[in-house]
Amino acid sequence: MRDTKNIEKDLGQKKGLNKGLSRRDYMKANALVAAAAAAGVSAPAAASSLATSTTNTRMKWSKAPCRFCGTGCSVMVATKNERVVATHGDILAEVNRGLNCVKGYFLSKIMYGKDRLTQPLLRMTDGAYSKTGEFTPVSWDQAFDVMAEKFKAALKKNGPTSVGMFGSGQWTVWEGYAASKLMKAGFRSNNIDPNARHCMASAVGGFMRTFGIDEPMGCYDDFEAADAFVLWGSNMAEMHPILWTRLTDRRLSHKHVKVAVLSTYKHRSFDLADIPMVFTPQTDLAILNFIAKYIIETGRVNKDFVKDHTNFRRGNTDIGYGLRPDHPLQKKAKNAKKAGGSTEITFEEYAAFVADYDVDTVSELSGVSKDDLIALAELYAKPDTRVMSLWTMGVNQHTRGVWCNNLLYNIHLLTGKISEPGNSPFSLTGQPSACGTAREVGTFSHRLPADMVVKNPKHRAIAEDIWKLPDGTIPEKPGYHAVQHNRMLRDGKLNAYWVQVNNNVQAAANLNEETLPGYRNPDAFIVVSDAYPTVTAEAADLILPTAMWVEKEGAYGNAERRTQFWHELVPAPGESKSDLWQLVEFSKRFKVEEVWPEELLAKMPEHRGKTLYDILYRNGNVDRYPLSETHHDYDNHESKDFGFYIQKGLFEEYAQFGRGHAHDLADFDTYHKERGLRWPVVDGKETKWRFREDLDPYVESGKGIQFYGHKDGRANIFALPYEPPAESPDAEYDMWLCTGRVLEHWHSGSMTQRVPELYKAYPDAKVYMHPDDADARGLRRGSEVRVVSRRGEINSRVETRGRNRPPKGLVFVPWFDASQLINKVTLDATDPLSKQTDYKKCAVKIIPA
Amino acid sequence: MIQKSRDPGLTTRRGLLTGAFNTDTGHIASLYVQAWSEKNPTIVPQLTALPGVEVHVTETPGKLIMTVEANSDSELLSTITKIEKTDGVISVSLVYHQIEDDGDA
Amino acid sequence: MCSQNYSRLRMISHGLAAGLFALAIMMTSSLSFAEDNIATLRTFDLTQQPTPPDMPKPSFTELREVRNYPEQPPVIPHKIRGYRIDLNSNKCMSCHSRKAVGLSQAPMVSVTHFMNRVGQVLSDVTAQRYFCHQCHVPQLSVSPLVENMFIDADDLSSGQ
Repeated sequence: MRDTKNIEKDLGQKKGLNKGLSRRDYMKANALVAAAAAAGVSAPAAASSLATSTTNTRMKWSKAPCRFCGTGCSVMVATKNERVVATHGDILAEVNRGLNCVKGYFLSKIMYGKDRLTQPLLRMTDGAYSKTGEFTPVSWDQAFDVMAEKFKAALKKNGPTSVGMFGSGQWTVWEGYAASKLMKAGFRSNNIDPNARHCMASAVGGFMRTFGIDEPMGCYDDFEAADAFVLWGSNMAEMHPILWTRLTDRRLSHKHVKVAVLSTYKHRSFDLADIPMVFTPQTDLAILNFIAKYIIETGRVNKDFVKDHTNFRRGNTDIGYGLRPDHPLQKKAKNAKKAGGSTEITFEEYAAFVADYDVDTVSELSGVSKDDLIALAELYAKPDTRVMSLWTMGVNQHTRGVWCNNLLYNIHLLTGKISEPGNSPFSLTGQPSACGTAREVGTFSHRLPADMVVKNPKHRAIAEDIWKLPDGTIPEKPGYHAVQHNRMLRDGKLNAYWVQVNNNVQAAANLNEETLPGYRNPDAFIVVSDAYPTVTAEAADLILPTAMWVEKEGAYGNAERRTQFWHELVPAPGESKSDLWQLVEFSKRFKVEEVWPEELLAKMPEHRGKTLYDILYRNGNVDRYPLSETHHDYDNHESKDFGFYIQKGLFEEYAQFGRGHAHDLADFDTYHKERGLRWPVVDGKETKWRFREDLDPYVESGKGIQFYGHKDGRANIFALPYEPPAESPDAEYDMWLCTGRVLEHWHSGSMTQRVPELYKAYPDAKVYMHPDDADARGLRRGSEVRVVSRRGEINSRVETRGRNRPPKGLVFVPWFDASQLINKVTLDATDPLSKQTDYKKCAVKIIPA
Repeated sequence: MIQKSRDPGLTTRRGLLTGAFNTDTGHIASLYVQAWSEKNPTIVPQLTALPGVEVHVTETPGKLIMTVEANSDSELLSTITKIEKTDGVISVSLVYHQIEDDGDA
Repeated sequence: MCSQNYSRLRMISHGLAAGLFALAIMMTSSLSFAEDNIATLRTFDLTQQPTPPDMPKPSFTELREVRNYPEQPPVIPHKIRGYRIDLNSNKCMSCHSRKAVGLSQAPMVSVTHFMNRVGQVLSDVTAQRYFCHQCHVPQLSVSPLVENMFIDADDLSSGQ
């Protein structure tokens, strides 16, 4: 039938109005279905799909954590014919109870950008690798041949410190663990660091310094128990949307609940603020000290708590800004080399120290009104107000980020408002597994699993024992940290370098002076594993196509210590392979004699002649679980390739580090069944609040509270001052620049910019500025401008309204836009303690283009 | 079982938004026609020759499903009358009738 | 894509190989190679400062868009400039709340929005869903830089 076919064709091609089906055609199809139904005959196939048919609607649903932020929502993923076809919030998940943010709801589309990389690409000239060559498709064998040759040459010429790896808080737990083993034990280089360095390093520093153990003591259940919420440099409404729904629910459903929001500009979280406060950049340090002073002055220190559970210490000051040693600011700093030092003081000395931070002084310094400062301090001081402090990048991306974390804990410790429902200093995490992988596995240049560090000989011995390696395998000296990586690439000290699961050419500050010259240095060979051709891939020498998210079996750990697993749900496109496969497969290319010195090998002669693969991954632990233990309903490409259940083997070996040491993880199979569990998991039970008796199994009976991260069971309250930022506006560069994210895009946008709905919601970066600042420069909304710093510039367009409303003198630019690389402008000043970059403040000028 | 989707006289926000008050409106209707199946070969070409008529289902003996597009009530009714008068048609039932704007673009 | 010529990248490499001083030269010389860019979200040399596109106009079809799958939050097809959602008011609800739809003929917020965290159905929209734009976003008149090959479940036949 001519007409039937026409309609079918029409409907087949056009599934709805937005895809070109005219409203009239749609109505016609509706009419047709109605008539067919009335007559009891079948309508043409396409038209009948307007009605439900069980065979066509059958999909397979599986759980997985969301791919984006550190909230750790669980999502249900529907697959059909080896494709993801739908996603929605997991109703059974405690974190999100069926909700997602707009990014989460569009997870279904992140893997389907048309430009997925499907085969390795190597820069070649005349059929051979050349730094200046053109990207040419090669086989995995060819790719690994060249890569192994480059790594071996670097190791031979300049030793283990000449190879390095830059990973991610978006690695799965076992990927980070396998990478750490390969670098620290295989190549014997500690030059492995994750992009979590840009994100959570100051939080880690804060935890270790105050408590001696990493990660929050509380959990998300605090949201339903708190009477007050204080946001310190966190725009949760956009960056942790699902936690924001819980906070909003609490605030709007309970009239007594108050929300205080502090930031250097107004953003969406201000929409819910009872006490909105815009402060001058860097003065958060002073505000925190004011609160401590206020608590002491008004006699509301929890004296018993302070006496029994805390120590007071004065930290070294004038510690520099983590710049290159020849930078004038660095030379000037007295304690640049002893940044972490501190001495014990008394409560009285501490009280005298914070006495300088009176309300008048701090109000003038910060620009926050005295009334607001006092209202804020009251939330902490009032004994019966349960208060939750929340912070992310505003506090962590700060040249005094560790201090800021320490000062936040101070005010919770002075009042004893900690480790119980609703009283919770809560460091929110940026990435989905910054906690689970970067921090817990210890993929930092100075760390080992379970909070251990390479500097400590006992810790190294524990790792070498579990890994069945000779004593002395792991080098003692911490490796280069993230910012140092790019500097050392530029300086020719790092010669073979592997980047996985991140887009550091778009992220790392000071692109023009450090990153790009580093990546394109002829003395460096850069490998980038990614699913998409990012700007980092463009700056590389070898690109490895990579499986992402549910194309592999994985595990993430979120900000509340919750470990969550997922199965491989769909195959990866083309020849792409997971990061785990790449790491382990690459290890087969190295005979141990090629990378270890004879004296080390002599300690364990049974390793002679083996490959790194045999030693690291076929060590009786990692290859312990047979393929038959993989789930029969799900594929597992890596395990099939290696011949054993590699994810389980890696996880169970890794879990040995934490079990019995306050980092207990449940057994592997349990996590595939649960919607995640919060460690320590002891006797099958998760731990919601740590350090408090009856809530935390590690607290000894009768102690009440025990900060067991420190041997004396006490937490440290630090006397630390306000110190100015590395760069402030002056006559020429007269504006503050703050950078950050937007709700619709995850980090550099490599996934979300490929989802049409998210792209169309927020396609290009823009410069948010105060209308008066725009007027003063003859600019209006939409005008093209140059954002210029001492290091570089970008062109952008002015936005004077919308979600972010900066005060005069400050501009905000998001960093997701690859066409507006704001990291050319940002300063690579870091916190000297955490080595985390301050992306929130530098000086710029705005010039009409 | 006639479903009439909208009374064009009712002012709705949606109507305003979608431009239902454009003068250029059209009618879409679907019909269930019972006919002598052995006469199908002659009925179907006759029906499709009528303006705005498309025949979608002919496979089930004795049953035809068709849609009619028209520019006005009277045009629609006149088409339906012509269908009823076609040799071999036993009965015509109007199942669905929608008045729609023509602003496809 | 693999057959493309990546000579522009070679230019970068040459430039940097020759030292940092070359950066300034490259900024001008690389202009002619911009089309060979491998990064799909950036069609300019890494050393360039491209002129950003004009601020796009919103795309207000005023018509409902088809969802990719049932659970997808519908995008906002109408103007929302000046719509406040804060402690005191929620402008979206003046049309989309259960009672307002009689007048507005806007779609009512989904029934899922009446359930609180523990699955209890409330008489009004749950407070946790208060900030609509956490899930619902307007669309601008721009064409995506990269095509998305997502396939609707209905278009995937079971045997395919």
